[in-house]
Amino acid sequence: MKNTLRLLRTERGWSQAELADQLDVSRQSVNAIETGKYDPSLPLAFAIARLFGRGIEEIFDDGQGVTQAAD
Amino acid sequence: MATIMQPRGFRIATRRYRRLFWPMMVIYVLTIMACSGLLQEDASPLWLHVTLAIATTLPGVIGIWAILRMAHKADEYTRASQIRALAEGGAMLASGLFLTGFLQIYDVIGRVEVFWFGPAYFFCFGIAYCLRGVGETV
Repeated sequence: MKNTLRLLRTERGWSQAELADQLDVSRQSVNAIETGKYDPSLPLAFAIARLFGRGIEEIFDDGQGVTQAAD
Repeated sequence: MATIMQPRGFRIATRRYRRLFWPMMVIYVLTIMACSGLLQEDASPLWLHVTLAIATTLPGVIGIWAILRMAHKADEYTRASQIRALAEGGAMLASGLFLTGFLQIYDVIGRVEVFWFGPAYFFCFGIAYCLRGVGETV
């Protein structure tokens, strides 16, 4: 899954370790998410979204576009 | 700074791990040193041997438990990495055990102390974890 985490982080001038500290995860976790090796769980995705003040779908893109609500 | 939901407590898990694991390792080493002194006399009773064996094993067992607790309490990615490294370490050790066993059966090598398989497991776990870490370095 693509994401803009690295961009958002560097915009704020944070290192991976600083972001990891704020999310209370390991630096390796942040690196794995940024490089797309690992997709975060929903709670962690929410935590990231809250930290940057964005919606989850603004940060993470599964390439499927916006899901339409069921009729 | 905005208050955020914390999916897992990596900091707390790491702190707890260090607080328990390293003292246990110090106790383990001290116990081994004490035991080697206590068991020098040939006349020491069997119960003492058994008691000291258990006393030496306990810090190691608690150390293993500390690793598992750390894996359980850490964030999801760290947990997955640690569990994978533990499994890979186990696979390496099992492979080594098979090889050692067959080498013994075919009279290539002599007796191997069972004791060494414990440290060998931690060594394999460490290697697996380091290799994973090296692969993830930016």
